[in-house]
Amino acid sequence: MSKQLSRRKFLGMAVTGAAGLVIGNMIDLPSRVQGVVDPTPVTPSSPTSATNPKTAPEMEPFFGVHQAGIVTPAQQFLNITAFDLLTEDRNEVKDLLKTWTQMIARMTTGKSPMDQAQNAKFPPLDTGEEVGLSPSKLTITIGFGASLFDKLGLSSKKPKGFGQMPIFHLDALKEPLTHGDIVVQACADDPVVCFHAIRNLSIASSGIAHMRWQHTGQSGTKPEGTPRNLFGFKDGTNNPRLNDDAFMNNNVWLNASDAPSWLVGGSYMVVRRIQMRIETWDQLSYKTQEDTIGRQKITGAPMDGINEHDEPNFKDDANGKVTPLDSHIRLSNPRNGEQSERERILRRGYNFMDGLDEVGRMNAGLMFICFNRNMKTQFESIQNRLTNAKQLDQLMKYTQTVGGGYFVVPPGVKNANGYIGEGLFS
Amino acid sequence: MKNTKLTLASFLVCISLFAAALTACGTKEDTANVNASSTEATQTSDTVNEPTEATVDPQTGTDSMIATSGELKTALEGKDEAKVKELTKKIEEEWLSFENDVKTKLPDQYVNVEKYLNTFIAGGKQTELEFDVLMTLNDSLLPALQTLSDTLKSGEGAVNKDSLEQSAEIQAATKEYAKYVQAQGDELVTGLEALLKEIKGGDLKKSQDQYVKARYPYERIEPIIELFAELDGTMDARVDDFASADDENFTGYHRLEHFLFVKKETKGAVKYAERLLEDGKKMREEIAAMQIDPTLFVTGVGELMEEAQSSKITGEEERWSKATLPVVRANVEGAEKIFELLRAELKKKDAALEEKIDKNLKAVLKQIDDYSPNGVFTPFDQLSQTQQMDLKNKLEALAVPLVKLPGTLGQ
Repeated sequence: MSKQLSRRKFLGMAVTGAAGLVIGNMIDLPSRVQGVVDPTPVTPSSPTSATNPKTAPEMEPFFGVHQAGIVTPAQQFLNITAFDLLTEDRNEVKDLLKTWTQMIARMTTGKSPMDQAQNAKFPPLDTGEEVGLSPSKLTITIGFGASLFDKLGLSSKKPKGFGQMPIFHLDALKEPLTHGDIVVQACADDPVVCFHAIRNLSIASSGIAHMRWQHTGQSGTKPEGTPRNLFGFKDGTNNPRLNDDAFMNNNVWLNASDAPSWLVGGSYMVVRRIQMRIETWDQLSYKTQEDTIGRQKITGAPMDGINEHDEPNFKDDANGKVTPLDSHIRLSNPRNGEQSERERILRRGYNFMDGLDEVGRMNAGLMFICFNRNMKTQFESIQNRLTNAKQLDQLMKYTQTVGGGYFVVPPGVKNANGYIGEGLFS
Repeated sequence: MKNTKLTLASFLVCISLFAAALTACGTKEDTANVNASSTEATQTSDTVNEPTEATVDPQTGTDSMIATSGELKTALEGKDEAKVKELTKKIEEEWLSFENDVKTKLPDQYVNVEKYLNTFIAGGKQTELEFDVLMTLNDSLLPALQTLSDTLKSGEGAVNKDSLEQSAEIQAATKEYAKYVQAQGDELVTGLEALLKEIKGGDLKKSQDQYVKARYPYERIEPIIELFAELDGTMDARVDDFASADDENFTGYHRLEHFLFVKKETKGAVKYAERLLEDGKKMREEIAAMQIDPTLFVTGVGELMEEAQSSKITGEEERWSKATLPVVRANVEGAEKIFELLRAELKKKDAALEEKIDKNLKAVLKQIDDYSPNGVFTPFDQLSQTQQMDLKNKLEALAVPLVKLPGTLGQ
């Protein structure tokens, strides 16, 4: 027993407790090819050693028809990271996705590989900062950028018409913050749990992919009703109910007529980092703020309504006297019946508050994330209306999109034998 | 007046919000349509849930409510249950007949009245009346109504576009401003003619200098120019809107900027300079033909400050010419012009605000001039980060009082 070992033993004891660590100093584990994979696959029903009844409701199921983190009620924190492939070898990418799938399945249950025997001569099997934390409803959602298909020579698998996010009018996209081969969205009620997930997935991807960009976001921890964005307005009033299956089938989930069969049950994801011009917004009069959004600030009600969920009557306000024609609400959803219903998207955004920018302004805004079934007829149709120079959404004067991308999200993994994106390689 | 379970805390929040909102009110009709009741509160009374159109003049309505409140006092003292219930219904109907008007004109006063009235109405509809509680509420309601009545009489605090439109002084200032805008339009064309001449002449240095000069008139009247979205798009588009700087559709000032400061050539720039001059002439016609109304003129200060503080202050707007300082100055000059034309009026309404704007305006201009020794501006990337931040802070210090000008004059 060397000094070093006894020190480790001591450390092990120090963090023993909830997770019940066993530090096996003398055991040489077999090769660690798979990075930090837990050799025992987790099945949906397998109880985990770290589970206690108190934390049970803190878990979001991983296995299912769709990936979690889309119609999952929004958790409080977000860490979204894009990866770029370092390899063109399909098998390496396939193995990475298998590894990631196993890790995600395990992490979402809150089980840590830190409670198994480890080799003292190698880095720990897991970074460990989540030991003792609840699973915190962690969900991980993975999507693929158009560039991934090109790099791997899998153009035949790419859905028709799916490409890079275009530059919309008034965007100021910064290359390092835009696009990416793979996107990983981690959401949880604990920011450390999000960070830990991304960090360990990144370690596992070493040599196969590297992080391209990363953003964090948060919503108020206990919002009453619809959460507010940093402009102080309720954001998401018009979102569908998360259990509205009919809406999801019509507007979110891909079916056989939309995409290749391996993507059925998946969705298209749009990510946009929208900087808010906080200081200039705060100089606006109350009236101008409400006119810009087209809703009442406190209640969230439309200009002609009383309560948040009242439907605005745009038909009787053709000149925009009540709700200005170039207000955000009016351009984002003109409420043209059938047509507007078909356009609707599922938004799942978070606020970001990242200190100050280079001239000392608040570096804050909205990590806009949405899911839809058809980029052209849904997200792009709305976005083109908002950014049409002839009648610009007034909100555009106080926002600037600097990054993000388009990703296609494959369906969920049904059981422990499958892995995310499996259809890509079969 | 939708709910009756209102917590004092939620009111305090509302009140503080409105106090803040009111100082910076817009200049158009109907401000915050505030419904003080939160959607989470439960409905316990059978109040009418429909917004009613104002059918009564708020002054008349408030005064008749004051009378009703007096009658209520008597009925409460005499513990006359039937009378109290009848008067409760009456005061509720009186309020409903004009509350919307108050809500939009005087949001804070609206909240102040509702605070007591809602609870009172709920209490007055109980089967068992608690006379002492109702008494207390009525005693608090009366001064709130009194204040409202006084405010309505004096016409203070209300956001009122009409007063802007009707003031002879502001009408005159608007006419003056229209002349200024036209003069800037003329200067714009002159500047673009000179720019084309230099570019055709092929002297890069002169072309670069003239490019910067030709920006000033455009930036001074940016709020007016932006009304012509299509022309603004061809004249002032940024490269970010295009896949590359060589995109055929990328035209206007910044295309020239790219030629002159990045490619450092004049030859390829000629056709874009010709196009820009053409567009500039159209723009001049457009602004000469337009009617500038007082509201558009007065609220221009906010737009100009917004311009200066958003994309310019980081240097991204003039990323190649590095001429951020003179261009920001042009925005500030445009705001200064509006302020100059309205100063005398503002002084009458709020001398302290006028003084503050004046002081902070001078500070910004001095700062820019200090960074431009002998009239030669320092390229923006040669300013230290501290200096850049300092400029941003000074712009903000000017913007915050300046954006209160429209609301103050609209009173």
